[in-house]
Amino acid sequence: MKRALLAAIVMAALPVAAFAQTCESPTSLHPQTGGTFTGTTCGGQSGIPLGGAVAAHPSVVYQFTYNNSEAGNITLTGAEREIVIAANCTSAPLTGVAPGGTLNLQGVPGITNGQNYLLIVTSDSGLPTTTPPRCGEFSWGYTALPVALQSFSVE
Amino acid sequence: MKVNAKMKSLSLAVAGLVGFAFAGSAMAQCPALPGAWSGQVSAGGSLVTSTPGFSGTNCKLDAQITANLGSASAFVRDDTPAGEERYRAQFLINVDALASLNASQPVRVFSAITDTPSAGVSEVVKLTVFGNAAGTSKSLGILVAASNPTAIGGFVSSSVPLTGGTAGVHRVEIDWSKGTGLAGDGSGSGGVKVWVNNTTEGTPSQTVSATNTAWGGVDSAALGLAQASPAFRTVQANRIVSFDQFDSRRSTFIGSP
Repeated sequence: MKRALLAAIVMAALPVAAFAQTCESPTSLHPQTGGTFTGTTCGGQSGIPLGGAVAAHPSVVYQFTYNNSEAGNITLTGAEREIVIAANCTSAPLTGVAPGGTLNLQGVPGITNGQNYLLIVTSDSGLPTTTPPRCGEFSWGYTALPVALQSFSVE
Repeated sequence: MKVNAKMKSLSLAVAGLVGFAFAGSAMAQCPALPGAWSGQVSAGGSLVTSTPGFSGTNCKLDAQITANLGSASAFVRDDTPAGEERYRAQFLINVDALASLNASQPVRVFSAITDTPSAGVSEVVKLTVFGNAAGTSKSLGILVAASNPTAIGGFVSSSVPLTGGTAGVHRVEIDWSKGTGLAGDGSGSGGVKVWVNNTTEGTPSQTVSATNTAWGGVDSAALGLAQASPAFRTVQANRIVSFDQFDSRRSTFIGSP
C-alpha cells in the first residue's frame, strides 16, 4: 500500500526517445501521475494540421487521459519549444504553453474528465520553417495533486 | 461557359475586391455585397465594406465572427473557376485586430474548393491564421488536400509567419496545381506555393508538395472567416479581419500590383 502510494507521487525523470511519437503512435502518459520528460523534437513529425493551427516544425506527440483529480501544472523548458493540448491532430488545440509558462489544465474550456488528449511538443509557430528543420531539446513536466490518504490500517 | 480557357484572369474574381478600387474620392460609397462576388455567407458573422481600402483602394471587406456557433462564418464566394487544375490567387489581409491570437484560435481566411472531392475533403487548399502558444506572433497556416502517406486528416500542411507587410497589411499569393506542375513546368507533384509579402516568383515563402490527383480542379473560392475554433469564437468575437484586392488567375504570377 505504502509502496503504491509512494510510486504514485514520486516524480519520475524519464528520458524519452523522440521517434515514433506521432499522431498515429503517441507515447502514452497514462498512468503516470507526474513526471519530467526530456527529449528532442528533431526527427519528429512535421505538419500536424491541428485544425488550422499548424504545427509545421518537427513535433513529438504524447497521449494522456485527463483526470481532473490528478492534473497539475504543466511547465516547459527549451528555447523555441512550445506545447499544445488537443483532442486529436486534426482539431484546434484547446490550449498551449510557451517556455517558462505554466499551464493548468483544470478550467481549460472544453477539456473533459476521462477523455483522451494529445500533448504535442513542437517549436514556436511564429518561427519560419527552415532546412534543416527547426528543432531541438525540450524538457517538460507536470505535477499531480497531492494524494490524500483516506484511511490506513495495519493488520 | 464560366471562363474562356484562354483568359488570363478568372474575370469575376478579379472584379471582386479589386473592383472596390473604382475611381472616386475617399468618401465614395462602397458597393453593396455581394457585388461582383457570386455570393456571401454570414451566419453568426458579419460582412461589410468599409472605407478606405488597402494600398490606395477606396473600399475593403470587413469580416468578423459575431456568434459562438460552430457554423459561424463570414465570407464571400467566387464561383467563376471551373475545374481549374492550376489556380493562382492573391489578396491583402489585415489581422491586427486579432489581439493576442494564440494556438487555440485558428480561423480559416481563404479556401479553394473543388466540386469533385476525395476522401471527404473538398478544400484543395486552405489558408488559416493562428498564433503561437504565447500569443505573441501570428502565422499563416497552409493546408493542402493530399493522399500522401504523411497526410493527416486528408491534408499536408505547413505555415509561414505573418511578418513584414505594410501597416499591418499582408499580401498573400498562392499557386496551386493538381497532379503535376508544382514546379511550373508540368513536372513533379502537385501542391501549392505560397508567397507572403514576397513578390518574387522564383522564391516562394513556402512550398508544400501534395499527391492530389484524386481531387478535381478548383470550382470556387471563399475569402473571409470560417471554421473558427471554439476559442477563436469566444475570444476574438466581433474583431474585424479586413481583406482587399482579391485577384485570381490560371497561370500568370500576380506579384506586385
